[in-house]
Amino acid sequence: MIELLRIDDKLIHAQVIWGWIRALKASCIIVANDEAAHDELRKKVLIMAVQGLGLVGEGTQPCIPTVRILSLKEAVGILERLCGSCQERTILVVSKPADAVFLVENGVSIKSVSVGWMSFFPGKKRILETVSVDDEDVKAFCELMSRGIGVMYQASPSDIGLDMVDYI
Amino acid sequence: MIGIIVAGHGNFASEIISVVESIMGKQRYLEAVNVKAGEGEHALRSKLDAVLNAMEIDEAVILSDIFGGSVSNTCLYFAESTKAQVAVVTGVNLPMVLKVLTYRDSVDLAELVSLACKGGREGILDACGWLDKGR
Repeated sequence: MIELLRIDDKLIHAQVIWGWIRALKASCIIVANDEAAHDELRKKVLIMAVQGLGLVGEGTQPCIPTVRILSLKEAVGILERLCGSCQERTILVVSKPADAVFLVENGVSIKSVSVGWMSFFPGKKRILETVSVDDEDVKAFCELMSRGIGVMYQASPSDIGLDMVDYI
Repeated sequence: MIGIIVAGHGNFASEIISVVESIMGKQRYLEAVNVKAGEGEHALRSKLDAVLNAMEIDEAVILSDIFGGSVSNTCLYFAESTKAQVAVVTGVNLPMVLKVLTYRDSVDLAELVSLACKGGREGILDACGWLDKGR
């Protein structure tokens, strides 16, 4: 089951590790990102960030989630098989809304999307503390919403989710 | 619930809490005590007293910045003299705070203190060395 689809251009970082993995008791994290999937160093660092959970967070949660860093296409293939019967509590992370649209268009079943970090750079407009968007992002958000998928801004699990429809 | 107070020189304590809350979201019973230049032992003791009273709980851990420093020393005097059960752990870092916030609901005060020390130590890694080992 996909417990969370998160849009976060930092992919895996402290907020995901200390917030979401614990809150959702996730047993699997799938990062669907073409750049990361082809960057061996980045893959290694992201995987180790989660393994670090074992060093700094064992005890009541001895299981360290498995991490897979996949291209969008690979993720589609694996998620199609996963969604049916799988018991894994999965967090799926993509870096931008267009990638979420790609997954949905290719048959990955998602009920809602949670927006964490979309960094600012020139050409983007800052709409929330950690979210900056350009026209392509807004278009992708609208595409998700038009398919009945709720898009919420929620950086940490204890934050109250804000409906992105009010901000784009 | 066990209260957590971070105490340190300058704005160290409130800044570390603001970072922690950006990671884990807003936390209950997590307070900063900042000690500014020129503030003495008395000022710190009053602040600790005020923060602990406002929390209205009987158990707390103070995570202070550096062992042997004036803040840690004063926290120790405070812990020994207050009616509440207060423990002091020194050398606070981000992994330590994350650790205590994660476990404070499920363990007792003594165990939380040992988890704080463990979490703080284990967050210190030769990261490049670790990366090389994993290659």
